[in-house]
Amino acid sequence: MDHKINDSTLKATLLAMGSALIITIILLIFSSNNPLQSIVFFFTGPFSNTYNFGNMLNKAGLLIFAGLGMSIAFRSGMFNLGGEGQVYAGATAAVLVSINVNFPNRYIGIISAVIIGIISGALIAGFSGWLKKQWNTDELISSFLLSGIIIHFTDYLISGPFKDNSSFLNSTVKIPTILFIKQFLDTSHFNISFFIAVIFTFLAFIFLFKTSMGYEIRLSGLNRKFAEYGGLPINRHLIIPMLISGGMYGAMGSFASMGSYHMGIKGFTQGFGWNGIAVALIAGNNPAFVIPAALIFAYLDAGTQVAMIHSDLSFEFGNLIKAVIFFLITAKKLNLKKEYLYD
Amino acid sequence: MNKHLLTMHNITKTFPGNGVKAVDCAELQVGTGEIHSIIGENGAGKSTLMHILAGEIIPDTGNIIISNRNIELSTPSIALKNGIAMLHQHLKLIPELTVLENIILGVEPSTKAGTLNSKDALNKINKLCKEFDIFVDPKKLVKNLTSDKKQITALLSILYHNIKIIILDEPTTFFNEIKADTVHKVIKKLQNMGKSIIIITHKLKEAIEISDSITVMKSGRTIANLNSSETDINHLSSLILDGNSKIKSNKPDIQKGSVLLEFKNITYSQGAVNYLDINFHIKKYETLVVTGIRENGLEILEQILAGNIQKTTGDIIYKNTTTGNKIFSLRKIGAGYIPSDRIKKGTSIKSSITDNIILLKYKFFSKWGIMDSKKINGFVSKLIDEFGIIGSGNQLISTLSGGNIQRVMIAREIDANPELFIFAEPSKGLDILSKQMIYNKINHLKKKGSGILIISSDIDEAIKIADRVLILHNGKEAATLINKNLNRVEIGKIMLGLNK
Repeated sequence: MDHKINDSTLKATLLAMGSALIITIILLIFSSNNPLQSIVFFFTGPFSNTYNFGNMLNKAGLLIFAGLGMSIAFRSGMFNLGGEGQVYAGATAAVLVSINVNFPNRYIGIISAVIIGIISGALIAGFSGWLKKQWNTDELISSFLLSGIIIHFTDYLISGPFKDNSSFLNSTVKIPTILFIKQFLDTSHFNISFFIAVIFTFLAFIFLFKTSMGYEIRLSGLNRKFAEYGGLPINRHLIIPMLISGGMYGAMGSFASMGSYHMGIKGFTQGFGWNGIAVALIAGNNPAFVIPAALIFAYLDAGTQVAMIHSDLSFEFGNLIKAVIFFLITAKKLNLKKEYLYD
Repeated sequence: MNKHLLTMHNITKTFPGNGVKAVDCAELQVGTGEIHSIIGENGAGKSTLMHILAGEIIPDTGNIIISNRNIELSTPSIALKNGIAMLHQHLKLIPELTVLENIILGVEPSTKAGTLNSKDALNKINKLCKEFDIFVDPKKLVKNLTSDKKQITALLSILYHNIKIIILDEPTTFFNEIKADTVHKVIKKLQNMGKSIIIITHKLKEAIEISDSITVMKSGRTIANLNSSETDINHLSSLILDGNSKIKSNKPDIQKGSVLLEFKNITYSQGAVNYLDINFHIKKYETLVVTGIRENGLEILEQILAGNIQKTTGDIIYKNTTTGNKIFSLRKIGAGYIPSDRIKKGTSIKSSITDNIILLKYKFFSKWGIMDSKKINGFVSKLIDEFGIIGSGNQLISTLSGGNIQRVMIAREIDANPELFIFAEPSKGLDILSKQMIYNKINHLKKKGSGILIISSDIDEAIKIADRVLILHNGKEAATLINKNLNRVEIGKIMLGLNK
């Protein structure tokens, strides 16, 4: 079965990651006044204390959700470029529910808020799938454009009707303390969502490789003509994988807001949506590899954060590194899309 | 006539995967200003030989000599530089671009400032149109053109270059008489300009009327090279159809089984051109082979059966129920079907044998949506044994040979025990052993009560397995015969329209 990664894919991925590291080091040497110190902070920073370590794991957990959703979408041949908007919508929906609804107890409250977040993300991405089914609208374009609209609309909600006027941040009020997802590991954001992400990884693997719907999705993605010829419900699988992918982004958003920030902050996503694509591609769209891929990505991210705080690196530098990784990984893997575009 | 403009010598091409020689020591000579036809059955190697000349396929052995110079045609653009271009039967045009843009693609003329000089191009195209007395609006999008205007666009894109040798693949297949006449005029005009024209055709009458000389191909070999003035249709057809007369006709089962599927007055046309006009039924316990030239109706018939295109008129009736105007859906009625396009449609080549073989049964192996791997593995090994597939369940289809891929499909379809089984070009590209295995499986399925419809351009195959043979000529049903003492010449003549 194709859940085993083949050697050449693995080699290509390692090569891309290796090149990214080398380029990172070169960039560090040229952009820092004290390159050695920056490099040390960059590589060891994430492990220097429990706060940094916890934040890195938390970030990895959030990335796992996104990576899983994208893997399933990619497997089905669908391209969800609207992750940013879906994360943002999920986060904000969860916060607004938490603020405005009186829940009988914290568990029902947290679970309901997260589920509402998941549903918001799912519906937005699912809509792009539906457009594809109905009018053959390219989901790549529609999900991307729709995401742009959602981001602006959410910005408006946060900085308009739901703004906390007592705060200097452009944010909503905090959610009730009782609905905070408990954080461990010192003052870091690390919380139970990481473990939920690990469980989801297991479920996604089972779904993709051991269920009949997973079979349909994989075959639709590999050869849509063949799936149609075999009588598989291919139209359904223009929508379902998008729902799942959007739902996972929604989960990412609602866990980020309920577990890390406890409020809706304008523009907090900072490329979360795009990182989901990178994680899925590093993992070869295989849930089994999403966890290590997310850890690597979170590590690089945390490294730049720490290096930024402790040395003279700029905020833009961190983004530059991520862009380099994203570029190298996608350059190799996006052949996938090309095949499916010109078939 | 100068016989030495083009010589193809000792050309051989074996396609990997099935080991069948598509072209076998072929020879071809074409002179300057000569119209040369290549004729032969489907699969005789005509197209492969011409694809080699057009630089699209690289031969295993052989020389190509143009104007006494040995050249290597490794890509279409090198062929183009040597003055060779091919007009394909399936036109390679980009529908979203205009006629003009399609024609100048790759050779865009530029102004001194480096921008596109469409004025010059437009003038050249208009001049060509006048010269050849053809017309198409250069500003129109190709997707909005009728099929004959598309053909003209493709032709213009060849004339636009400085070409010495033009290869035309079935230039008049999709045309009625009047439009075919226009094509012939263009060909004659090209000849007057000193160009050499090679035509691949199934129409013997056309070959004799229009060309100066004719090459006959059979099983990859060039078996004759004739002057058209020295031959006639009967001679040509006997050359094409001559073959193994020892092929035993299948003892036909004439059965009283009930009718499964009926095509009642089914036609398919686009504009004024009629591509298919057919009437048939299939009963249980019988094999009907529809035969003919692939491009003359077989392809369209398969597309209608597969539900890819919709019939223009007529009724498709399955077990007394008309399908109406909906697209006919084979899988919904539980029919088995193996398409002629095995690689893109019949298999998912990037998936494992297992994933391919459980296509029709995966639901049967799942409970609450979870698939039972143990049951699946047992099922797959059983079929691998039974159908002699060389490989294991988790092996990717792309690593298998052509014959093995075929076995995977047969295993999948026959195991589902379909009441109606449709098989297009069963033995295409297979060795004798695999062919025999397939025929045995088909006969076995028939004896169990299935109705079998085979669409095949291979006459020998029809004689071997059919109970009844339906022969198409130009998309029209020319005859339906019981397969009793039929021979290939008899069928071939009907197929070529020579029986009157």
